Amino acid sequence: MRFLFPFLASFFSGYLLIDLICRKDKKMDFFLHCFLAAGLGLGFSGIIIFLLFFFTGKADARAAIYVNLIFLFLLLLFDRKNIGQSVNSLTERTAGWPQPEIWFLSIILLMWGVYKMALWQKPYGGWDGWALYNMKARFLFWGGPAWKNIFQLHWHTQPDYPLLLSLINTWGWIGEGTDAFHVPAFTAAFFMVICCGLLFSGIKRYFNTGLAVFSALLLLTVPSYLIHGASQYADIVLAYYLLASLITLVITVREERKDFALLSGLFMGFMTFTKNEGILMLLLLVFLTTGYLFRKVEMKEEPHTLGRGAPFLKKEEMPKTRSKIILFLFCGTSLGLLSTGILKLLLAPPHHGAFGITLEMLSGFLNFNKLETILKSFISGFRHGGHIWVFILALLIAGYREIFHKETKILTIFLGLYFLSIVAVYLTTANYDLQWRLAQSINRILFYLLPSALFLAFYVYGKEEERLKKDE
Amino acid sequence: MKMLPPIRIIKHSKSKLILLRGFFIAYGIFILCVNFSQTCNFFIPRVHQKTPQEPGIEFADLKPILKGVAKVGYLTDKDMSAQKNDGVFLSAQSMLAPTVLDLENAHHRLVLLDCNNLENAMSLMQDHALAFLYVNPYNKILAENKP
Repeated sequence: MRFLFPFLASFFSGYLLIDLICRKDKKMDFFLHCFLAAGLGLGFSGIIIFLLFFFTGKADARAAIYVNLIFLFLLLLFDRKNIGQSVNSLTERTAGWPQPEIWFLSIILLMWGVYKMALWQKPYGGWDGWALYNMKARFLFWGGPAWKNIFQLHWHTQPDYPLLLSLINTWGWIGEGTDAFHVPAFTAAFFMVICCGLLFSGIKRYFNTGLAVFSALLLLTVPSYLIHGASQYADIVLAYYLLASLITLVITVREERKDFALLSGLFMGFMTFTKNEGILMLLLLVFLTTGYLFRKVEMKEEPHTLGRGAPFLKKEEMPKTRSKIILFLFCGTSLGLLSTGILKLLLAPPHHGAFGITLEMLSGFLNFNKLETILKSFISGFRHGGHIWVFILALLIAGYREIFHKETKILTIFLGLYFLSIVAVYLTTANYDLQWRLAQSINRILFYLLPSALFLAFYVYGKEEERLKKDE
Repeated sequence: MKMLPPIRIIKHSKSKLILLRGFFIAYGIFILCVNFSQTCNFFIPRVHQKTPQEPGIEFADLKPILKGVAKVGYLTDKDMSAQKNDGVFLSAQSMLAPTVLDLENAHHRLVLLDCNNLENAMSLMQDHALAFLYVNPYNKILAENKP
């Protein structure tokens, strides 16, 4: 069980980092703090290890431990004034929670249960789990100076894929002392549980606990969530970081928080280092957020104004707060983008199939039959997910007035644009059979979008309930 | 208290809120029950299933032999397209990491052969002038490229 030590060290790093960044927020809900810290810390550990390996030229486990411990120590040093206040305010921050220690124990037990389920169901993960991510983690763990051979592997192993999941598994193996198969299973279970916890915390920040518990319970009981989550793919990691990006973005825009803008940027950056889709997600989110902030509307809560047709601000008209928010958002993305940039520009070969598309081929891409095939596959994918997508649609319909209201429009437009982008990517499939590609990937795309879609649906529903209460 | 006609009940915000909540609580509980039963239906039949073997187990005995070797060639007579390959090459790569398996390249000191039968493997070895070194119980052959 020694692999738990790296996870704990990363958790504490994440906790202190959030404490440092959000030091003015003495009343942040404790569980939101913890569930954000869990993913933030692991993301930092993964990137620290990658940058260490890159700049030193070899994969050294001992150096990875030292650097991570130094990072933790530095955070303790910088945050020493806040730690006492943070601990003392725990009672206040868990106010309204009946016996928070029971909640905490329940989360631990839940994580253990999900871990055992993942281990029993797919001890070595799904195809991409053992063939890509865990295999690359072995290069990172055992490779020494030859770790960069990852990028010389056959294209079947997707050597251009980002490495965050492999680095997190390597970090766990460093603690365990060997490449034990149960460590990636724990990583998968860990992210499955903190994703649910994050959904819960995000909803609870603005709405009642019952709604929050219901949303998390709903996610955790979706069979496809449990099955795909246990596959040890990077999809569950991407699902978490996307949800974290969206929740922190909502807090940023709704409450005009620079600190959460920085956090949001960090999570967006981690997305780019988790899967290639993360790059597209970051671009869309940054573009939409910047566009939203540049519009001439007040960000503070107003009684049900839609803010339609608001003109754009000129640079000199831009309030300082919004400029700082955008600046902090960009700063936050830099860490993840630096790692992704190093990987894509200096290490990895180009994506197999990304190039070789000619102008002649382009006209062949845009045909109705292909579009019909793609849409049918999506519908089949939604059906495979069961009632959950119908429930999400029902919640969105119930809260139709809120879908494009204020900060919610960023999430709605993002999901819409992302869906269109995915359709465009499928339309331009050149080097694979389209049907095969759809069969391999549709369910996974819907899987990593599910937590964020649930967050949007419950957020919209919660706002609609508030609107109805105000109208009484 | 005056009874409102149905259409005015629906327009009244408080009634709308109660209806909305009631509908979604009922629907949500229904989904939770469906999810729970689907999860049980998926997992219960699999309770007594055997633990799957580690991918690449057919190459496990080659791991100590290839320890410290940076790259080996990998020859096969199987379909290696993305859609139709049987996954044995990837499982071999996973098991033998951090040794790199260089597919369809026999210009390494050591070469691994994974074929449908031993005759095909022998034929490949002859074609590339490889010397036999070792064969394991899964008919995976390790050969050497003599200078």
